[in-house]
Amino acid sequence: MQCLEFESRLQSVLDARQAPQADAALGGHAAECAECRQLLAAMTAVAEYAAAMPAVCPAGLTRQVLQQMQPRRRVLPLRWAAGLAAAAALAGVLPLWSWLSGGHGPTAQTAETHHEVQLAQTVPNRPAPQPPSPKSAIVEPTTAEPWSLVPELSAFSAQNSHELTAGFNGVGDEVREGLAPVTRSTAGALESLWQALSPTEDNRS
Amino acid sequence: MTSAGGDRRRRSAALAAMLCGLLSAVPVLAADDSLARLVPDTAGLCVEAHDLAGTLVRLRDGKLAKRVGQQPAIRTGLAPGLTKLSAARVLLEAQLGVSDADASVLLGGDVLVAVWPETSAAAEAAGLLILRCPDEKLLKRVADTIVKRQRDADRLAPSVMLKFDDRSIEAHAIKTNRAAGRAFLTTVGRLAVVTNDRQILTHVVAAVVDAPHDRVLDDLPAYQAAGQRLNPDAPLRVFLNPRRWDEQMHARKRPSTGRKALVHDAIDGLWQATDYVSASLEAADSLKLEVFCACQQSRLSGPLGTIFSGLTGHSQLAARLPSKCLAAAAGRLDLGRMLTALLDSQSLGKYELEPPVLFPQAAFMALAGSLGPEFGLFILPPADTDTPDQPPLSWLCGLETQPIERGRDGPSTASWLVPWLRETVRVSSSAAKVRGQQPALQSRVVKQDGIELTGISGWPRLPAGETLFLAEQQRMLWLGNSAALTSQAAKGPVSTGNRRYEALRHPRLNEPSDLLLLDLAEIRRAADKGAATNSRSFLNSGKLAKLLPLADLADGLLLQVQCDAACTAIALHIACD
Repeated sequence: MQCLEFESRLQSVLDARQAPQADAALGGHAAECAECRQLLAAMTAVAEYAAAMPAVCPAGLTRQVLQQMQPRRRVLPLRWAAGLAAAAALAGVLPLWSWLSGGHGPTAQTAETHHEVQLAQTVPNRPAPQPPSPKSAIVEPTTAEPWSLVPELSAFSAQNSHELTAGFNGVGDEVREGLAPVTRSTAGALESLWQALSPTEDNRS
Repeated sequence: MTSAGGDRRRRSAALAAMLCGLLSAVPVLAADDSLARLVPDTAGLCVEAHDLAGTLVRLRDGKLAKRVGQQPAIRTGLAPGLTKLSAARVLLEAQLGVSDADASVLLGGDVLVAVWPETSAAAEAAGLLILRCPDEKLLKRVADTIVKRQRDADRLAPSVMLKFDDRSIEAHAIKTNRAAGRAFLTTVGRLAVVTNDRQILTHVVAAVVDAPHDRVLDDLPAYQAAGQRLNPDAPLRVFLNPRRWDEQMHARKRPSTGRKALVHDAIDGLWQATDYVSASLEAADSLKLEVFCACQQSRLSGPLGTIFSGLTGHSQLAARLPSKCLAAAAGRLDLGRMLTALLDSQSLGKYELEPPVLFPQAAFMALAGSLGPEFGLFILPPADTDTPDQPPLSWLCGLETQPIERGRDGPSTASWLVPWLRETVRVSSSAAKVRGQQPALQSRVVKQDGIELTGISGWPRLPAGETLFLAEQQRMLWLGNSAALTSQAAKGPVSTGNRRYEALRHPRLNEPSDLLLLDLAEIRRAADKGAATNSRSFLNSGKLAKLLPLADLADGLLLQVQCDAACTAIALHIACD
């Protein structure tokens, strides 16, 4: 076994929560190589120390468990959230309302009803809308957004919400691309310095 | 007597001569001098750290790290990294004989890393590492071990002798992975120098022994100006000189049209207008990050200049934080002006932007265009006695309703928004009557403390029994779920003396353009109180509950942005009590 294989196997054994000193292959190589023997001894000590650490009950565990029992909401990636935040800020007052209000309000008038009433008021020969049948009059909790009261805003929200967030999606990548000369040079220079301080592994046994 | 006195004088003279000789052999750089005095002023990026070992210990033992370490998710996420770190420490000890105690001494002084831009795609970017260690012997031992290891690995090239008048200093040359690539390592007194550029090596060593050399970073006006802005006690500092990267930035290919072209031009414009970027980080019981971008707004042209000017200035609402609030976001964001700038550039044919970038819909344009830049949202803790008729949490929102830019004479938002809401209520009520139902929306005008408020209830998703109050005040429109708070805000300053803000605010950013404040300790308290007393609590309804995982990590968070004509400053402070 070579030193690199030894390190790789040691990592696997530690990842599997097994005792490194009990591994025959590791022990065999360690018997021949002083450096790896030292490494094995050190990592064995680290593993034993970690195993002996007491389990700690984190602060606020009860609240976290209760919180997990709440209906889960969709978590947006950061850049999506940024896009949504911009859209929300653009819309100003109305989305703020939605975010702040928590409970389900009483039945809202739908956009269609609103439009129907407007038509009835403006077109003389059009029959007025009939009262709803008992079945349709069942009051259902609505999750309508405030802007659903305004057809134009509702249509915009429905059609463009995906495109709106997609519009911001690539900005982070484009900024990173724009600053590539700085990041590329920095990574290259640091790599050279590291090579000077540490013998590369491909030259080891 | 004379003879004895003569001997004493001769001995004193000899001692003085020895001392002079010793002093002349010591590097001229004093222990407290900035390492930037050694670095050529052509560096594009420079990172300086002071007492890195002590900083890491303070961070490890600090309240913040302990709180973060208690989070199972974070512990799980960090576990693989910590294992690798342990393995790296073990390897470091095995390969270089550097124990933890040695590492603490090695990193207990000053460390500087500088980077130069790569001159071509094939050329290697130059880098420099300078380490100032209090223990000269330890530094020499570690350097010798590195050289021995490199020799064993057959990576050592013939060393380089640097000659300065009567002094010669040897630098070990180490082969890098690039063809014919070389890195150099040398120690001079308490300093270790590592670089992959021969000229930089010569310059640095010349500066160390006070031999003639070119200008150094410490003499650069931009570096000096950046240093004056930064926290002098910060253990980690970063300086970026955009001028050194101009050639590489210009060489980038510009997309022809669309959003990519817009972003490309924005980065180019900002880069050209920026004299320097500097940052510092301090981490112990709390975490303090500050970033200064010396961007001259007078040099920004086109839509970028317009957009930037919309962000500039002192926010009035940021200075009117309620004395107690769970969360506050306030500042300046002139969306109308930004959209106008984008539309102008579009009409000139400079970019062909896709519709989502332009937001062409009339309603949004009208709303954004008729708003001013000031905005503020404050969420206040629940009242002590929470009754079913009382909203569990109060909130207040202020919007500037008059555009500030001359020539953009759109109507004030308040002049149409409140009438529009009243009309919506009226039409909704008519529709409900036609359908034989009770009106869902109701509005009424109430007077509170002499201020006329429009109250609307029954709005979709507004909790039952909760009323939205609106008040107009000159250039501001105030909205809130408490009549008293809304009228108080409309009458004058909300209140001042927020203790959390005072504890967290940056000492030199006195006129923030934007801020975000989270009183995480209060959020925790409110959550616990809500859980115990009122199941209808706002916090339990899943809104602010999103902040609870964050609230467990610290007690307060403040993000400040201060944007003026010469510099944009960003400060983040996360603290534990």
